[in-house]
Amino acid sequence: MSEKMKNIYYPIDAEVVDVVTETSTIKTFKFKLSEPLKFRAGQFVQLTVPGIGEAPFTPSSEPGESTDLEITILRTGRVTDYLHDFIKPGDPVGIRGPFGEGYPFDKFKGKTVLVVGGGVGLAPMRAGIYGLFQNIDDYKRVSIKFGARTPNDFCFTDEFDTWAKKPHTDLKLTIDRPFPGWTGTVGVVTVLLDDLDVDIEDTYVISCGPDIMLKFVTLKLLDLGFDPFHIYLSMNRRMSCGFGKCHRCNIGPYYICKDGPDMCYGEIMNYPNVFG
Amino acid sequence: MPFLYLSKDGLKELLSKLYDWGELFWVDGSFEGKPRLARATKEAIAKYEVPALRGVEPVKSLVIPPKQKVAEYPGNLDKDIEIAPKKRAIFGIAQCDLAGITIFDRVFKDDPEFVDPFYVERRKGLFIVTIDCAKAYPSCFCNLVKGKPFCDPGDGYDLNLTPVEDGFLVDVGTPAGEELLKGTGASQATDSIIAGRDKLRAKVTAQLEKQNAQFATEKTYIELVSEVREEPASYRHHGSTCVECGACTNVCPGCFCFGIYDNDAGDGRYERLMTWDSCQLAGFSRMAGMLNPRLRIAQRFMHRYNHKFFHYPWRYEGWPSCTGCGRCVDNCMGSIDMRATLRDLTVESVEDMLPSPSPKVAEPEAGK
Repeated sequence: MSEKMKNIYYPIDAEVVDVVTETSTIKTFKFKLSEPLKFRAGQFVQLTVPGIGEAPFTPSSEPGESTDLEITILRTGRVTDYLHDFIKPGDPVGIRGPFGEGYPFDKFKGKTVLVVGGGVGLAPMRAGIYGLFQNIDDYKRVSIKFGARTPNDFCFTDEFDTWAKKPHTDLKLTIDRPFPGWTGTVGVVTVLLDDLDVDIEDTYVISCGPDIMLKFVTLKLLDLGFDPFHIYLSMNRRMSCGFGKCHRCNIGPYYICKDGPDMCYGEIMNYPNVFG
Repeated sequence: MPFLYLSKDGLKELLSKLYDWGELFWVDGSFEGKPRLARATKEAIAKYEVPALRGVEPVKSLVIPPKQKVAEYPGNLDKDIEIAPKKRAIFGIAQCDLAGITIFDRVFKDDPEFVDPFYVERRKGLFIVTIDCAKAYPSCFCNLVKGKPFCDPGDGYDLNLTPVEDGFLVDVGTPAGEELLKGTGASQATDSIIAGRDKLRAKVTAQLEKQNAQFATEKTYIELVSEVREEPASYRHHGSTCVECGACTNVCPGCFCFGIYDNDAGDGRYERLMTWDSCQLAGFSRMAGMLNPRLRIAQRFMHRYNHKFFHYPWRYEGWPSCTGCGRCVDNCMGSIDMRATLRDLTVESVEDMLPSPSPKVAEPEAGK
């Protein structure tokens, strides 16, 4: 008596085809997968660095089905340090996934979508933005607000102009502290929410960034009168299995890996330690 | 299916048949006072004694080994794997251990989307014989968490035994169980034997109710834990003696949280290992960049109770992932009693709480 079963722990083979340096701490890794991977905007994958381990990342490339995948990675821990220091084109890696629910784009139809990103949070946001652009006419408006520490800490700067030119889309940037040559807004990303010109009742927010940014963005939005159920936050938790079994990524009874990673703030707001 | 009566000789016959049928593990009552989980041997069948209460060890290592290889890469070789269930029997487990396996089943086997093939492989070939408890440890509290010191039809056993005068009352749970019972001389049980079973069950249930009366709460533990949002003082009070050893999760028949690690297997091959992990250890939820949403012991302590009495029942139709076996109470180096922690959840003042560390629970009396 034997049968074939899918091994949920197995990474499919992939190869690094290119490494692009975005900023001093952020690189984009381009992969060729041995079989097509289909993911929705907001879903994430587990990237295996052979012998080092796995780490969860939301791809920064366009959602859909493809053997090409891009992941933009900040150097911040064991796996990401190894990626930055040693991984070069031609190296084998593994990909497991996709996992999570992704953004509920259906809910956003006919509404304004406010995209708030900070630092390397722009990386997963890019997949979200590409996802929105795929059906841009479905949405009333797409308003993008990005923040970074310095002008040199923005990734994908060469794409900003193209994004701003899309129909009913606008893009605003800010940096944390004044910087030589920067003439734009200065201040953390919440300053871009100060003079918000959107219909708050009719707007959904998607946001990604460090915990501290998510916290203050959320507080600001609530202050402005946003419905907590209109705020989707890309939560940061340790995710290991990816399918709601190993129980380390929960916020309340929700698994960030299975029910997220973009969680509706209204659903999680009553649980402890939402922002770490 | 009528109840059957099995003599003590018939039991030896049944064990021999099980031994020949496949790999046999049993909870052996012949150790002084404390039944132990062990691999059966042919010679030991003659002197095997049925346990009067649950074993010291949980049986979870038979379905989820402490460490197992789940993949080898690269090469896309293990993407789909052949599973070949091995015939294995566990004999003499208590209801709390069977409930533990049911807890794992919901997560690893019955998940509509992600089924763990390694779990299914072990679980499918598993033959389970349960035994009603004839006694209870002072730490046992199954009656407080939807458990009971005996098994009912539908709980998932193949055979259930109740020790009665000079033998056993057997309830057959599956056709496989019926098959194995053939040739053991099992005969139809008389009404007086069935009455004996009911008397034993009532006796042990009454004992549990008595010893746990001081921990009983008006609302169920699930309701209490699910309603808590801010960190209650009880978790800090009772968790203060935690030394982060992880014993409570390792001996728990319902704890299944795990970690995934990769190893260099040489020759350009890498293997992926799945190991037991413990949410009581600081590294469990630590992220890259040393961020940790559960940095303090009390936060991790609360997380364990939340998982057992809030998150798990929330996801799986109201079943807790605690079976009330009391092993965590027995094995805690800080003498933390789960029942005391839960009982004090709604108590505001530390003065009104049960003492921390909890008084050491009495050792079970020697003998079977």
